[in-house]
Amino acid sequence: MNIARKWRTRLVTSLAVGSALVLALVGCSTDSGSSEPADDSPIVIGATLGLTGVFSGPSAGYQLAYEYWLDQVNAAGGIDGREVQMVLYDDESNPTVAQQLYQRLINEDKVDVLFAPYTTAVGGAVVPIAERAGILMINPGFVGKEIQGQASLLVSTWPYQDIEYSLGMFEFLDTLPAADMPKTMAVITAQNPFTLAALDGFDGTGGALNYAKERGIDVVVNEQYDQTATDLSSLIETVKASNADLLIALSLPNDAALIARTVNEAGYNPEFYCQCGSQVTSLPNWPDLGEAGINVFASTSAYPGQDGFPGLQEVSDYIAEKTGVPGAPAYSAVAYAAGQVLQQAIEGTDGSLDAQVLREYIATHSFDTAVGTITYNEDGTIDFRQVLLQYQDSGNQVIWPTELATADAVFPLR
Amino acid sequence: MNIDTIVQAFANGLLLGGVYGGLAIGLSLILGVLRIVNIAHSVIIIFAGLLYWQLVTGFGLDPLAMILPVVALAYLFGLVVHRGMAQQLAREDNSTVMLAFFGLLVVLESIAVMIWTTDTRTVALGYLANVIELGPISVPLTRVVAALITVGVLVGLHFFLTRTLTGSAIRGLSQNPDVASMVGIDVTRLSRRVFAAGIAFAAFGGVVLAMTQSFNPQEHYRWLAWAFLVVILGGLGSALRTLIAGLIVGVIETMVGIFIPFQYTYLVLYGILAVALLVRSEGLSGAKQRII
Repeated sequence: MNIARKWRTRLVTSLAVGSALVLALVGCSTDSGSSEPADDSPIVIGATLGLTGVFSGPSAGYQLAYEYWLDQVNAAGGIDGREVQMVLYDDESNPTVAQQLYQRLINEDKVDVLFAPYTTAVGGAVVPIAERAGILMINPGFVGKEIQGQASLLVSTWPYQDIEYSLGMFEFLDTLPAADMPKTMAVITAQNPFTLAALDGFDGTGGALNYAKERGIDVVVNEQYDQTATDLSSLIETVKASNADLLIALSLPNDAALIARTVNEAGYNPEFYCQCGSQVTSLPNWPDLGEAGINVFASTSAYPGQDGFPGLQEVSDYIAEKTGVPGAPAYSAVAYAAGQVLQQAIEGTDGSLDAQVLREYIATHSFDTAVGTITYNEDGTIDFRQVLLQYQDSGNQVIWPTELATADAVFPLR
Repeated sequence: MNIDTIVQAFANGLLLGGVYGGLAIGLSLILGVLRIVNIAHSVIIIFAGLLYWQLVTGFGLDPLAMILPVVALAYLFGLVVHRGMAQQLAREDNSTVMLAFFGLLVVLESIAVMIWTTDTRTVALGYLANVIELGPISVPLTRVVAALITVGVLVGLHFFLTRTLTGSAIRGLSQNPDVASMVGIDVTRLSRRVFAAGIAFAAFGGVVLAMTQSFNPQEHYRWLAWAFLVVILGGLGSALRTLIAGLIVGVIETMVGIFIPFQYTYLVLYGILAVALLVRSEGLSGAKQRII
């Protein structure tokens, strides 16, 4: 090999790898955190989100809600006169990376309060780290009745837990005449700790299977799938062959689109089809599904356009402006509520950042938030409340609770 | 399990297999002819899918008419990458080449995220989004179109490689570049065109994928795994065997799923393929040499 060629080769390889590293690092947010807890020093919140990787879609909603809340609270003079900063890292949707980053937030950035990352698989991995460090963790990121019960400094802003994800759908079914009540159910579940809890419940309570059993609905298909599956047609064929009246899909956003598309392509026409594993119908890509996305039900924490959800309309408008899709996803409401709970707790304790003081205050007071006025159970969860949406021709409509309904439910699916 | 479900699953498998064939052919061509392990293959698939999404859903252009522009752009990109990178690395060892292509993968993925963010995308296919009812079975028009185009492209490629002078030259290049050069073949020029064609076929796979699946810029690795699976099963460098391998994988995947719990589908699929390759280590070719 001549020298010129050898150097050219090295240059090309170095440029390719070097560019890759530079671009990979661009994705990391590196806001500097505060470490001096003086009275006028900023209040620093630490968090990670899966800004890249499989959970990047929902995480983007969280990030926007956090941005909006920080802008609002700082424009109004901060909390108790102190500016609020957030150190936000990209955990790459990976629990191991998240664990390392939460160690960094606690030990190097020395944040005052933590917000939990998105989804149970990632969030459950970092809770013990926050507990050991004795730092309060507000949890807009994931649901998990079991995890909540094991942590003393974990405070959720989700108005329902993993085991209750499909409860809104069943409560809606209870409002129907007996003739319309489904007799049979097919349930398909992503192999993920959170969705499996949504299927089975915890300690004999909650879970789609228990809800169906309580109502005398016969479960004719109960199948699971790997989230990396590239094709679900045979699974949906099995469901179609069962002719189940009700299809419950307990899935996360990416596979939800695949399921909706496959159901449509298979010509399966159940009476009711609920994507009850996550709030997907207000995500930006749902309208692109066209016919496949129509008349699908999904549960959410709150929906704009209703009274009693302070800040929800504003954060929804902000996110709609940023994403081009009206109606904020569930994630942004609970993310915004996390900031509201923290702000009201600090102000209610005269500026305390002590985890135990804040935790005690939160346990004994109510909070006006984007997910409604909430009070806390002993384990840091909130009493069940949910909004059931259906994505109709006109877009998302609130179907249940009845007093909030903006439209009648459309069924069967097609 | 009734016969209609089985027939439906078989039809789904054939259509899915067509998609897999489309995803794999670019990888097979570059690996088979140029011996380059293009691990950036999957990100090119996704990049092309996103570009197709931008044109069809973003700009509202015709989904069939936009296939060719995406593939043509990818061909031009392939020419540039070959001149700027692959050609320089032609006689380097495999680890250097793979490292360089990994760099390309990360760069393209990062650019895709910057342009299109990490949201999951679904192409709104308009008139192609219909479902065709054929007696007891229903087939989505998108998959039919995607599979038919793939079959047409792969059969066309097969005849191009086996029945034309240029195809003969490519086969000569794949068997021994030095000897090919001695008999008057412009190896550098031909290699560049083959590489660009491989990138264009990867982009074609991306379009096929975008017509049938939702996707995002960071989940391309799963498609790389499927492309390698099809290439390994089909053996290197044959368009027809790549197509057949895709069909086999697709049919096994959909048929297995209706007879056993779906969660075991991939376990069984990989088990069958592992046994098959133990028996025939060169895949469907059954011969320890490349055809092209």
